[in-house]
Order: sequence, then structure tokens, then C-alpha cells
Amino acid sequence: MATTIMIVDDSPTMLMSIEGILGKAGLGVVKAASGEQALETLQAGTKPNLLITDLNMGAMNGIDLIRRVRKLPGLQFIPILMLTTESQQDKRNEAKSAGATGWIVKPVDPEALLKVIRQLVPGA
Amino acid sequence: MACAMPPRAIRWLGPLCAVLAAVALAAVGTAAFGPVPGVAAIAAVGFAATWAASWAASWAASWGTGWAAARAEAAARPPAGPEAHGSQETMPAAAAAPPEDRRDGPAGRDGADPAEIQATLAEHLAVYDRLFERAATDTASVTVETEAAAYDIMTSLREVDGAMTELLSFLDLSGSNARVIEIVDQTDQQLTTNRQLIGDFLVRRDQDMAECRQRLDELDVATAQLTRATDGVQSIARQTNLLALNATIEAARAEAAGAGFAVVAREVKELSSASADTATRIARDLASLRESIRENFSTLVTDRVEDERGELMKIAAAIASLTENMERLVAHQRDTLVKVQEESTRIAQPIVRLIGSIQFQDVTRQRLQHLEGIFAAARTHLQALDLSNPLTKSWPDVKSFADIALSEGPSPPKRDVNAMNDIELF
Repeated sequence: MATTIMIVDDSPTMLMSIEGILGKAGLGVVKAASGEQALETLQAGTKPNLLITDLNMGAMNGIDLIRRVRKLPGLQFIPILMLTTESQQDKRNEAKSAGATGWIVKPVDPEALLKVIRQLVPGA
Repeated sequence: MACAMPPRAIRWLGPLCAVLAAVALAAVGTAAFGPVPGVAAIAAVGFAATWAASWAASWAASWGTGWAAARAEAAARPPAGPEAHGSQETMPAAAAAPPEDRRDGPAGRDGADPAEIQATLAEHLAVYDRLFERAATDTASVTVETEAAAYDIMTSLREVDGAMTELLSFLDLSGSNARVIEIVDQTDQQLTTNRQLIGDFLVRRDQDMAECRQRLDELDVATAQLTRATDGVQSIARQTNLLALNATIEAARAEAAGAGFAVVAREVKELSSASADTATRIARDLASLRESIRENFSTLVTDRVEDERGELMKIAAAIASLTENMERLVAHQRDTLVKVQEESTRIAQPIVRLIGSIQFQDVTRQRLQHLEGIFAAARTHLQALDLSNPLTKSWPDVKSFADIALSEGPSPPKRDVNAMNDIELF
């Protein structure tokens, strides 16, 4: 079964950029333009192998989204990466407490991003 | 300078504006260059310069013409404490001055009109407000424009990437070359077969012509034999004629008794004459037939068959040339395919890197949004300043504003692409 990555970001450009990087690596991509949309998609039954979310996204930020996702059945243990412009340690700690698997500061080199994904999702 | 202090509230407004301006400068510096030590220096210089300017303006407006008198009064006063030396620390001391020092009537102790000062300060603050508003609007506009431009670039990049991927897929070297080679091989085989068919046809044609020639020769021999047979008939006719002549002579000798015999002899003579004529006609017709056959066969062989052979040889030569060109075309196409695939693969990598580089726009966008927040906070702070009551004790909290403005915010984009990986796995 093909690996599916969910990307959550309120920037259409970022969504398209990450989708392009992952798509060229042969990974399936599900996009969401907000935390709310991501939750809706996940609650509808989508089960990604890994989730990448932005931090600052309006009403529901990335950390809130992670807290909500971790409560959804079957998604307690999927890797979740925070991909954000922020790099403050207190926010990293907050994300870690919420259940994030890793923290990536934008911009990230495409190869480095793919390497992390393959490390977290064997066979991706 | 302590002696030249304006009333407490008004004296605070200059430094307040200076703080705001310095904080805004620091925020802009942070947004532009990142949280580096230089920003603190920019903020400090901005603070000092703006504070000095605002203080000087405030001081000049308040005391303008009374500057000399105030100085004289200062000289007459006993030495002030360490807090009265014109720095920020002087202000609390001035603020602690007796109330009567701060209430000198409409024109103030030094002749300055507090209402006028308030109006001037309000005017200055309104300018700051408009500047921050303009800055916030422009920043928001830049954010929207760069986002739209980046989206367009990203869309175009994805289109180019899609086209490249499609092209590479189409040009899949092994499959594509194999298909071309297969088609060319089939065509080559067909051309070889066609050449072989033409060769076989020409051989068969030659064999047919030889056979035809043999049959005609046999026909010629048979005709010659027939001609010779007519010679025999003519010989017999001549002999018969001689016999008839002899019979006529013998009938004449017999006179009346030979009258009937003379009639028979005449009939025989006529028959032998007719036989000789017929044999002559047959011989002549046979000669004509032989000539006609020879002539037609010659035309057939020398003209039509040789022409046909010549045309077929041309076709065979054309096929050979076509095969050669086809082989050259295949070689060229194979080289082209390899080259196109190499170039496509070479272009694909920069496209991926470009797609990744668009992330810089998102970093810039978030930093600009952070800046917009700082401008909004500055405006809120300015609007909260209550100039109607210079003695107000409910000044907005400048520290909380400074905290917002100097908060770290989004990280600045890294200039070194190779160092653009800040990844931490928990």
C-alpha cells in the first residue's frame, strides 16, 4: 500500500511546495488548509502514515491540532512533524508535550525532509 | 536640565514616544535581519536619538523663550540629587516634585500653555499613529502580493515539473528505444523481404522468358517443318500436273476412244494446279506467321521486359537506400532519446530544489505578519495614551508592548541553503 502523508498548512504555496517534494518521491499526499479541515478529513476515515503540520494557522494552531489528533482512534501513534518558521525552545517543548514526533524549521531542504519521513515511516 | 523639567506627565510623553519609536525600529530590524545583536544596538541608538529629539522638541516647545530664566533659576538652586541629571533617572525625581510645581496656571510657571503642549503632542502622536497604520497597511499589502506571486511561481513550477515527468515517462529509455528498434527491425525486415521478392521476381521473369523463347523456337521448328511439308505438297502437285499432261497426250493419241480420259486428265491437272496454289499460300502464311512471332517476341523481350527489369532494379535500389536511411534515422533517434533523457534528468533536480525554495516565501510571510502585529500593538498603545489629563496615572503598560514588539517571532530565513536544516526528532 502506498505511503500517504497528510500536510496541514494555511499557505497554499507551502501546501503545493511540500506536495511537489513528496509527490516526486512517490508518496501519496492529502492536503488540508487548516487544522479544522485536517480534523474533518481524519474523522472521515483518512489514515495517513505521517502528518506534517504548520504551527501558526489561525483559529486552530498546530499544537491544538496534534492534541485533537492524538485523541482520534488509530492515530495515537502516527508520526507527526511540526513544520514551522518558529524555533523557540518553549514552543518545541509544548509541541512535544502535545504529542509531536519532531520539529522542523522552515525552510527545509527537500532531501532532508524526505530522509526524516523515511526514517519515521519505513518503506516510504 | 532638571530645572527645565516640564510637568510630569508631559515630560513622560517624549520618552514614551522614544520608547515606541525605538521598539518599532527594533522590530523592523528584527524582521529584516533576525534577532542578532545588531538589533539591540539599532534599538538603543533609535531610542537614544528619538528620545533626545522628542525631549528637545518638548523642552523647546514648553520653555522656548524662558530657557535663559530657567537656567538662571537652576544655577540658583541647591545641587540636586544624582537622579537630577537629565537622563531617564531624572524623571522620577521630577515627578516627585511638589504639586504646586506642576500647577503653574494656564501658561505654566515658565509661560508655556499646557493645552497647547497637549495639542502639539496629540498632533505628534497622531502622526505616529498614521505612520504605523501606513506601515501596517504596506506590510499587509506586501504579504498578499508576495503570497500571490509565490503561488503563481509555484503553480508554474509544478506545471513544468509535471511536463518534465510526463516527458521522462514517455521517453522511458529502455521501453522507448526498444519500441523504436522493434519497429525499425520490422521495417528493415519488410524492406529486405521486398528486395528479395523483387529479386525472385526478376529470376522468375528471366526463367519465364527463357521458357517462352524455347517454346517459340519449338514453334519456329514446327512451322519450318510445316513449310517443308508444303514443299512436298507442291512437289506432288507438280508431279500430278506432269501426270495429267502425259494423260492428256495419251488421250489425244487415242483420239475418240480417249475423249473421256482427256476430260479426267484435264480435271487432274486443275486439281494439281489448285494443290500447288494452296501449298504456296500455306507456305507464305507460315513464313508470315514465323516472322510475326519473331518480331513480337523481340518487342516483348527487348522493350517491355527489359524496361520492366530496369524499373524493378530502380525499386530495389530505392529500397536499399531507404533501408540505409532508416538505419541512420534509428541511430540518430536513439542518440536523441538518450540526450533528451539525460537533459530531462539534469533539469528535474533543480526543479525539486526550486519547489523546496518556495518555503522562503512562507517564512517571509509569517515574519511580515509578525511585523503587522507589532504595528497594531503600537497603534493600540498610542491610542491608549490619555492626553486630556496630563496628570493621569493610568498610562498604558509600555513593558507589555515592548515584550510584544521584541518577542522572537518567526525565525529569519537562512541565507545558506546548505545550512537550512533545523530538524529535531523528539
